[in-house]
Amino acid sequence: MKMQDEMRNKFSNLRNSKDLQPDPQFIKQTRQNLIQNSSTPHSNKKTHLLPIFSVMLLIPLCTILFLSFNSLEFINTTPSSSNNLKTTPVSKNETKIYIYHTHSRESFLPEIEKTKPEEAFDKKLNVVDVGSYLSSYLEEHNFKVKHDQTDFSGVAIERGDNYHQIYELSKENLTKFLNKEPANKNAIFLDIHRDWVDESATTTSINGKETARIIFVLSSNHKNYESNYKLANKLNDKLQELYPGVSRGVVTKESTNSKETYNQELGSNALLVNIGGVDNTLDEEKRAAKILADVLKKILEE
Amino acid sequence: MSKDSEHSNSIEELYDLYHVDVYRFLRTFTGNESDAEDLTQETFMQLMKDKQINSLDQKRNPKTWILTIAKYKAIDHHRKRKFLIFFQDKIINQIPGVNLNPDLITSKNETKQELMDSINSLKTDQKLAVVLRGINELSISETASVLNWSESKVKTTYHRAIKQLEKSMNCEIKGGILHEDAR
Repeated sequence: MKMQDEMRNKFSNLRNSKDLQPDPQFIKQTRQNLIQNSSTPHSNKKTHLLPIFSVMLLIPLCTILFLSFNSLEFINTTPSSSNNLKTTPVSKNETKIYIYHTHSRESFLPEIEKTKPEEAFDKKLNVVDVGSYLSSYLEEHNFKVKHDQTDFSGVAIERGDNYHQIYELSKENLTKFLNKEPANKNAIFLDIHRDWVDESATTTSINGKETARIIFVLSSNHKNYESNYKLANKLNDKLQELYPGVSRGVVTKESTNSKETYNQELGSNALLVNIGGVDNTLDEEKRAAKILADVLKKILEE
Repeated sequence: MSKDSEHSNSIEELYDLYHVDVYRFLRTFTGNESDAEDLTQETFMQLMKDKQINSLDQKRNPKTWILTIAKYKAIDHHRKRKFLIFFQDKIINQIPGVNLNPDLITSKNETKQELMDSINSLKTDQKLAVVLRGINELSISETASVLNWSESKVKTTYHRAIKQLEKSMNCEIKGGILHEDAR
């Protein structure tokens, strides 16, 4: 917050400095010119050769520049596919999708007008909004969606819990959901977060629009790792096929601590998904959510 | 529908209300006084013509309307200058012994000047966003309207520009210290 305020102060100093005040003599003169000109109908149309020439030269120059820049752009490739995995039978109509946010206050710097990643948290505007977009896109595809919007971060702050204890809080809600119906254990669990890394890693362009990139994060120290991995991998492959550049791949965090599982031991289709990062806007997040919904639909229809 | 009494926003009144905004914008964007003055004049001349041709536009928020004109003037000017500098550099390089006095260039102790310089070294898009949001203190939606961008583009561009400014201003301080040591 400090840095941003500092910048704001610098701006207002500059804004109010003498340099940015027009010279009184000039103001007067211009005002008079305007009044004179507005009373006499103007008809002098001068053609300037310089601008025309410069434009003529600029067009090919720009084209060359544009082309050379474009050719520099390359797509970040992600860890590749393993095609022949037979995956667990999840079919669309019965599948419930459970969306939640363990770090519910993770937010986006451009939206809250801050610049330091450690300040990218907000009570009101945060990753829960991304979950809402994802839910509504999935509902458009006729999925049954449960979006748990509990502010776990808020609860943890109140209780004075630390970052890892917070998974215990989201686990309570997951367990309630699982106990409601036996079939719920086949639901797809998506814990939606956003990443810390900066925009160069979390932004890509899809059809000319800036879009947040997605990465799937898994924990390996439990029995459901294999089947969670299959789902992540399928999503990753489908993303690569349909929206190259959006997926940053599948990452497995190997922890020896049996508690650090991101709750993924609770379901056979449980993933932690980072959609974008601190530098993305909600619009970019929304586009990524739409893409993720589309890809989920496609793989469940197969 | 449009009454001519709405003509009350005469060019003088618009000038009195907005010339400081326009000047601030152009002064920061061009980085120098004489260009800012020329372009301020051009902006209001253009405004006068536009008003005569299309009085409907009077319904627009006059501030964003006028700053939109100023923006076009600034970008136009920027292009012309780039073109001129391209040739000037070539010519100056061919003349032996012409060297700009380095003391003159580096006499900028003030942070204001440093900020101005940092703003000036930004890419055009970022510069526009910073000047309109930071110096002219327009809202996100006003900025979007002046630049004809989406609000999202305003947010990301401004955000990236601020990060860039913070970086370049820190670097300049460090650079200064290094320079001192070297002496």
